[in-house]
Amino acid sequence: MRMLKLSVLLLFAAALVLPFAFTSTVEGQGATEAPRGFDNLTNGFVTQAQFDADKDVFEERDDIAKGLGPVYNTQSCAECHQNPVTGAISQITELRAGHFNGVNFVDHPGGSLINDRATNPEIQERVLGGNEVRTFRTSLNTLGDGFVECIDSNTLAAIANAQPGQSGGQIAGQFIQVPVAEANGALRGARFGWKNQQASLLSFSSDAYLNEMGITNRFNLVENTSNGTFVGFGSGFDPVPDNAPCASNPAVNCGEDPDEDIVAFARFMRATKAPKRGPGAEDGSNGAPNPDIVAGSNLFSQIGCAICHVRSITTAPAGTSINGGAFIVPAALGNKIIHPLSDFLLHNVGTGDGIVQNGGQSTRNKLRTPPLWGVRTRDRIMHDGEGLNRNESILRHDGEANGVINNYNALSATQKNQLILFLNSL
Amino acid sequence: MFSRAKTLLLLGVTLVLLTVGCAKAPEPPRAVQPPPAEAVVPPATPTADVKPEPVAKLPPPTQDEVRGAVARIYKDAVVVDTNRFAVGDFNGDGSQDVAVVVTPAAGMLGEINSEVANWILEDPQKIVPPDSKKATQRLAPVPAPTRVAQSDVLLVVLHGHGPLGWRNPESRQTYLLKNATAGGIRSHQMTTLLKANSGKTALPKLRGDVISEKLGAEPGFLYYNGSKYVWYPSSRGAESIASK
Repeated sequence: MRMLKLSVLLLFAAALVLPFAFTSTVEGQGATEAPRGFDNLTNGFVTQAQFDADKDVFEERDDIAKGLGPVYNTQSCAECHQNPVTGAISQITELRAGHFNGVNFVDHPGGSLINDRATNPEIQERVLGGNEVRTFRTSLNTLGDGFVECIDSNTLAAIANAQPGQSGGQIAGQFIQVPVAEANGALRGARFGWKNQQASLLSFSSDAYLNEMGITNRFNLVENTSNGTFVGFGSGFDPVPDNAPCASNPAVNCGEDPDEDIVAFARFMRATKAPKRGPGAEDGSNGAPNPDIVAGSNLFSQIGCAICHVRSITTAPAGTSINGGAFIVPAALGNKIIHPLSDFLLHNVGTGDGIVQNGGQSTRNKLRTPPLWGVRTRDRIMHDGEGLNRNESILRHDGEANGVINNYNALSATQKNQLILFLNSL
Repeated sequence: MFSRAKTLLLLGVTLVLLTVGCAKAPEPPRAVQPPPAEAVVPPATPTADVKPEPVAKLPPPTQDEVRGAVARIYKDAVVVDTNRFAVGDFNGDGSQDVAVVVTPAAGMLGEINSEVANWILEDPQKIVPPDSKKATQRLAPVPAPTRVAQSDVLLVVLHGHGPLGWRNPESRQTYLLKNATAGGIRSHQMTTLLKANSGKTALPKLRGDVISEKLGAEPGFLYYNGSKYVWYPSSRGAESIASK
């Protein structure tokens, strides 16, 4: 009896111990789905308290004393990235202009971005004569961009290499590499912006802080001009010098951004969840799948939309050094499966805006495939916001998308409505 | 019953087992090494500048070709007026397009006005381009969806694809325009228009050739702005070409 009790007790102890002894680490496990939601909650990259603090910085309305302007577009990141939650999209557009001389695109004096606002009426930017290339650009979603940043550049290059074979040679996404500011200009596969101007979220934050809000910072220390005329500190239009030492390292010049808000912006975007699917999504992530959405999803792939609007991409493993060595993929963002419905490559689908930024003249009439995740939150679509209904926006695709659109045209009205229902569930 | 000593011994053994089991096993010594880096992507082969190829010299269209091209997309939804058409590169992609006057076929209005039709239906006179002289402005209200009536005279613009242009069976992108034609349409090359208006700032941004005509008593032209066809009356300041 005693021996029996003793044996039972030892077995009980062993049962307690075994799970601990054989539990392995998360390293080496398979890729998992990235968290999704429009819920203002962290994806795990930072604590909720840090996320909330960074969101406050992202939503902060800056004024002239903080460095706003002299020319700018908005007072806050969240003015353009807000619907339905901070970090997402809005209907707000920016204006770009320049001139095509028959061979090359030439920037408008002061750069292709025409800032819509100024702190003084005398320096308001306007499109000058002779700059016949003009376009609007809608504000992009930043939710889930931390996962996008953690896609290995080689993954994007591989997608580009595969496209001609998938499309009979009609589709060939252009992969470009752009400088990473925080890595001394090291090149990396571009993925952010309508023209794929940026590869890292810190570089993107720095660029936007200067160009959209007029606040110089560690990586962009020179104010924008007004139609080519200097309006920075010393001109009489800008009371804030561009030489504040960084709070974290006084030896470094942080321009008008001593608190390094750009770091908070990047951290906020890295911590956002990917957009959540709508009710009835075919993947079952939001209730029971709607049969019409399931059918539309299948059609989306069958007719070729998914060649560019790539459905699933897995991020680089945790611990991978990216952004020219300036960022290590954290566990919260590494080895995650995302469904951006984009290849993050440049294509000519007949809607090109004629503007050249980081990609060279060959990209003049190309645009990055916009990720369709969260597209149901938009009423105005395409780069210029001119698409007011889904069918018309699909039909605007031409060029590389010609064959795919011909497949779409061959669908029945029922099938087209199913495909559109699928789009409206994204 | 166990004696107290045995019970204590048993508890002690259990505690030791739990402690040993739960303790994290010592990690094997690791050599200090940098994290694996994203492999460097070889520089992309520079892509040649995308310059629109000059529109290939193509033979003049025949009425049958025009009728066939329209039927390829519209099937029997419209009736083609094969006497009134014009060709040019209206969207500026280097491929020849065709514009042709049509009328709705009897009983086909439901098809023509379908929200999932294979054409983009619009009224170029309702498209108000932004004022390029103003940096900040309220955009024009979005016009109500265009609806075709049986008595309407319409203009089909069929965008070409590749060297064969609108004759290419793969060319399907098309606009169906209401209030866009009174019948007499002509194609004018963009270069001609730019030359006639050299130094003037009133001209809109042109991507390609234009379709000139008179709507009512007013001359002007239709041009493609990248997403829509827009009516530009010459009274806005551009040198009239329709009257020449």
